[in-house]
Amino acid sequence: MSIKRGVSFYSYQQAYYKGQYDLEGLIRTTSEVVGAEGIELLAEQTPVGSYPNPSDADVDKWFGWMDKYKTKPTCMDSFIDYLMFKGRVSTLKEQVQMMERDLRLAARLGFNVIRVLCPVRKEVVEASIPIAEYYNVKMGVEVHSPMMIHARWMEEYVDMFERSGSKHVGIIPDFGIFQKRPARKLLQDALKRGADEKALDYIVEAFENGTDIHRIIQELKQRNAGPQEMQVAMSLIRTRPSKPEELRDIAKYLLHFHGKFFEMDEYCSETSVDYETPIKIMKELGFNGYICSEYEGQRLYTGAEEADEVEQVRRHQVMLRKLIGE
Amino acid sequence: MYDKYMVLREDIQSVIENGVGTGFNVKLRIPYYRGVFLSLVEDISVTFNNTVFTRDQLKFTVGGDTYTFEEMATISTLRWEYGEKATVFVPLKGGIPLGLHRIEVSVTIRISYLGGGRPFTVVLENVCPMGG
Repeated sequence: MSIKRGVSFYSYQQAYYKGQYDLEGLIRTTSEVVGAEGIELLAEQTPVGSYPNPSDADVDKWFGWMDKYKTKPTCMDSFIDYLMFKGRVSTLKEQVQMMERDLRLAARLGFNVIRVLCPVRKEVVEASIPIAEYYNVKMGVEVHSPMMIHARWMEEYVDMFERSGSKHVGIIPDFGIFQKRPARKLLQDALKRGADEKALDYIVEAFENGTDIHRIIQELKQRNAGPQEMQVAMSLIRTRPSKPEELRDIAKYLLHFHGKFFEMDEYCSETSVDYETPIKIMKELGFNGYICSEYEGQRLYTGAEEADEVEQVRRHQVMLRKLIGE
Repeated sequence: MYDKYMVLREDIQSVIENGVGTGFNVKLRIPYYRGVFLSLVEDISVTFNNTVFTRDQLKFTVGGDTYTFEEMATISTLRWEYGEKATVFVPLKGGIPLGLHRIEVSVTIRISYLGGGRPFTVVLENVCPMGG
């Protein structure tokens, strides 16, 4: 058993938005062009039939595609809209109902894990445990930058997991927590617009050495840095790196991974996120779940220029294959 | 990508009823990476040249049904899906006249994990849907 590979359809958001692909097209592309088996779905982005209650015929069609393209459902991303109505926060019971809605849908579509957004309160997850057990779907809380593995919020979650003794709760780290530096394209574009190369070098080096981003911004202000340099620094404002070693501390709760990435270069290397160290540790830990590519570099492109999402995901899968050692 | 694909030029069209222009329709896609229940569409406004049309003047059509924003505020079961074109009707008397116009569309989706809504605005310059 080893780490398995998949793709989060979040990666193809631009192509789907424009109407270039439908859901089946994305599944086919994932299997035939990208070369991945696992599928992670945002049911509210690329729904199977209609969300949250697809017809039985839609569900049959979904499983038909899984057979046809030899793909497998891995994780379904859930959103708990606790600001459903203006002026009030949904009550605990309402939020548990939303969780139940997604657990039921995940079970119908063959997903045995759902991703719970990190701002969701642990009380909601705790109260949903019997429902998750009933549907036999695990709830994985994401650790997404600026959240860190050892943030107090996560530690309280882990305490709750311990207390509950349930096998239906766990953690889904997002590789964004292992971002070391800005994406190459961001730096290149800043240079093209006339950014000072030395200032950019300073940002990259200081960030890689673990300097807090607010201190970096302070320093840039003192150096009278211009808007181009500031923009690069600001791109890291919500990036707080965790140490890959810390995965060991939450090993028993690891359910799934989001392979967040921003830019794959022509040699199939990620230009800003550390994949090598975390995957090495995941292998040592014997993790045998999925890591799903989650491309988020669309926002690096402006004007007429557009990201080639499928090619980026394909390159990411080449890198994963190599690092996993297939 | 929302700035490029939220509103397409060809999706702005005058509405003519019994030979009289009653306004215009703007088809728009959601400026967010997923679809939402209609109660989460917090605000939409459309500015035609210098005239601002606010949510209480607009009508929103999605999935074949037309709603006021007051109605949408309490709808937590019906959706505006990701990539799906909804239609906003703007009651501009006479429809869009010949010539070039500036149209600004602003959409606010309430995003729970961000603690609320932030408007996303696109501006289309030199729009001439009548071909004038």
